[in-house]
Amino acid sequence: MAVRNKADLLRGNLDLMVLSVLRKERLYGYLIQQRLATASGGRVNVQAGTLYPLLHRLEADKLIRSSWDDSTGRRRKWYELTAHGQRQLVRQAHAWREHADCLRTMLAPVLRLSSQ
Amino acid sequence: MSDREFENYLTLLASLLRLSGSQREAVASELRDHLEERVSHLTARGIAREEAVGRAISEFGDAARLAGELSKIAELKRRRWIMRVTTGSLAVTAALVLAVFTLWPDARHGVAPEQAVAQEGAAEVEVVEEGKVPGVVEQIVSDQACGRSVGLSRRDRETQRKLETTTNAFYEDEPLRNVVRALGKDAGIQVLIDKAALDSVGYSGETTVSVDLQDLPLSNVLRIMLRDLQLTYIIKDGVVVITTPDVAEQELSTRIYDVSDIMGVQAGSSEMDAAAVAAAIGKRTNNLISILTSKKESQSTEVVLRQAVLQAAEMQNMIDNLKKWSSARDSAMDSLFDVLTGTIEPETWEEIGGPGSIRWYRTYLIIHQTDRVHHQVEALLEGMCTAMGDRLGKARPELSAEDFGIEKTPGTTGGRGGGGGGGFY
Repeated sequence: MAVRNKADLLRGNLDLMVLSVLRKERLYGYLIQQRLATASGGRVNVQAGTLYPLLHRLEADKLIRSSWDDSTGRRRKWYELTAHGQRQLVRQAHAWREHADCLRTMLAPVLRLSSQ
Repeated sequence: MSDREFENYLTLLASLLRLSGSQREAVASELRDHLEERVSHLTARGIAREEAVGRAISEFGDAARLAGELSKIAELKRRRWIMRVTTGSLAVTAALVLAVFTLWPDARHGVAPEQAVAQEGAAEVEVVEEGKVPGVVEQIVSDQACGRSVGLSRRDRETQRKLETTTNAFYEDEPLRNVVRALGKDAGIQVLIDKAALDSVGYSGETTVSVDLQDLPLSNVLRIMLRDLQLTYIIKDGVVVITTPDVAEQELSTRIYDVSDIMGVQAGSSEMDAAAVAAAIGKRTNNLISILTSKKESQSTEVVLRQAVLQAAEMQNMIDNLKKWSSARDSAMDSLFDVLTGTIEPETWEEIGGPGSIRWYRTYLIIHQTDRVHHQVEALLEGMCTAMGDRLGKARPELSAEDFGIEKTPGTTGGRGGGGGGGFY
């Protein structure tokens, strides 16, 4: 039950997470999946069946763009942030901090109570 | 074995994608790459290859769901692309035309003479039109007076024509049967009595009638005589049938009325249809594109732009004319509808629940009604023609097929399309 809720919370913010792992580097699908897992400390495990539609949607929205190349010895589809994606990432990261701060403040008494 | 399983999954998925071949191939190879990487990752952790393949595939989940989602996204992308391209090319065209008009001082002078030529061309056609050049539409309406119905069967029309023969009728207490037989014989038409209908209101062929009418069309004689008995007549298959209004009411027939004169639109322009106008505009668009894309070495940019501007100006002209013409026609038709359905037995039209209907096509009215209403429609239309008189010819909007660069059907006119656009025809 608790785990389920956690998964839901994370899923709602997957777009932002994907944009954040692409912030500094160009990655292909499998690597994006790996980076999401490591960057989240193993908390985020996106299934392939979820990841690819998400990537294609972000590309359709022009937040990321893709290109094929075989620099790794394999022909692969690489994704990178667009300028628009970069701006959206920064904007949404700020919005998220606001949101998180707000929740933290409001939930602080609850958390204090339960930890006692 | 395991690679076969990959391929099976990918083939299934690809077949479910609603995408073009190359897009489908791209999706499949992206997913194949992921599956292979995942399997080698899992086997490196000591998992048996077969199990690794199964797990990698199961992580993708149901092929149908995944294919559906990916297709939906691709469709969204395609639609956005089309929208952008359309908006983009419109903007480019607009910017080009604007730039040419602003940057090139003689542009307006360059176009003006061409328009003058176009108008001259139309004026010539106008003169020819008044001389009644035989054309397709002309032939249909040639023997028809303004506002006359043109859609009756030949036999019905013949009968109707004969009903207009001037008649003298003097009968006193004569059985109806004898009277109608005699009247019909004089006019050369068959007149029958609908026995069942008359029986239902207590009459028969033996019912006596008295009339004393002189120099009236037979149709009026019949109508006046039958009115006293609260009977009426209809024309069916070329035969005049004496019956009750109830039965006549149910006998609806369709007639077509040519109202081009009343609407103030030339008969010739009724030949115009949307497809022809669209084709004419499409031709100019193609001309414009080919001028802009196939500039020859020998042509200066100025010449090319000049030609492009001519084509663009012609297109604008045609579109303006089309708007003018169709809005004039629509409002003329609307008011004609109101006049007809509002003054002639208003309760018989379908808009307030009656059986009769009225539609229009080009400059023809198509009316499905009882003969009685048809008769009144015809009389009203003829009355309007007379009232409007000869002014019609002069008051017409000066628009014709030529204004849209549509060539008339052969034999109608030798007139060339409006405006010579520098040999691009």
